[in-house]
Amino acid sequence: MNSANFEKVIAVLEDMQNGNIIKKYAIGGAFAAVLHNEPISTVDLDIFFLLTEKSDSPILSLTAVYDYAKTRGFSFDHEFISIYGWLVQFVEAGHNDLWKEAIETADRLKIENFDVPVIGREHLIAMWLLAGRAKDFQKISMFWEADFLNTDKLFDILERHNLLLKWNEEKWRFISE
Amino acid sequence: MNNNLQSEIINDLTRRKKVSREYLRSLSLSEKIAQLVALQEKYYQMLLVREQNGGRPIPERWRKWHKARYENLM
Repeated sequence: MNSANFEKVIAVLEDMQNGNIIKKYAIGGAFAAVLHNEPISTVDLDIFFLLTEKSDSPILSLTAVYDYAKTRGFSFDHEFISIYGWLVQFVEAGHNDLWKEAIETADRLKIENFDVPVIGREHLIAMWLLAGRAKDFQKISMFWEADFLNTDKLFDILERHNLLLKWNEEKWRFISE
Repeated sequence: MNNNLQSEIINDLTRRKKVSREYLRSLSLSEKIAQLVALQEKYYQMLLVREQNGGRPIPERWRKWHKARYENLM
């Protein structure tokens, strides 16, 4: 297993996008943290995506993705699809304005032969803050410590998505004064 | 242990941690992914050893990871 297999996963995602299975996608979660910052252990690869057609049902929204996986011979188990040795979790983002914006404005990072869409650092922070689990606060802390954030951009995102109050309430968990 | 020695040890550990993190951050994206793969392998081995020694079982998510990595490679 090496990063070459990861390229195959990206090729699959691009194929899904080109085939209108998904409209747009971006890597999020801990894997995005690895790409922006430093390697940390994570079990899966989170793919946030937008559907080609709007769906109100989270089950229906994943049907096209699982049907595609079947045709390609990828096995799946509940929330995960196994693609070339990687556990991939698809998260439909259309119902959440912050997630939607994160995909629309994703960075393009060059990995070997692909320009890979990866959710930007400041949007990741907002998404982790919104999720609010201990492991999310740890990742915020890592990013804050790395000192590479555009704080104007971050606070603009937090304000527009009504997360400033939560930031102020929770910041003691991830910022040491 | 006197305070000076303790403080020196803390400073040294802090410096080593900083150097290590700067190195990891400086890796290319492909190298970071390769490091992630190595970390996953080590973490799974740790979970396996814990289970084999009567500790908590390997979490379901990590079982699925192992299956994906070793049984479904295409």
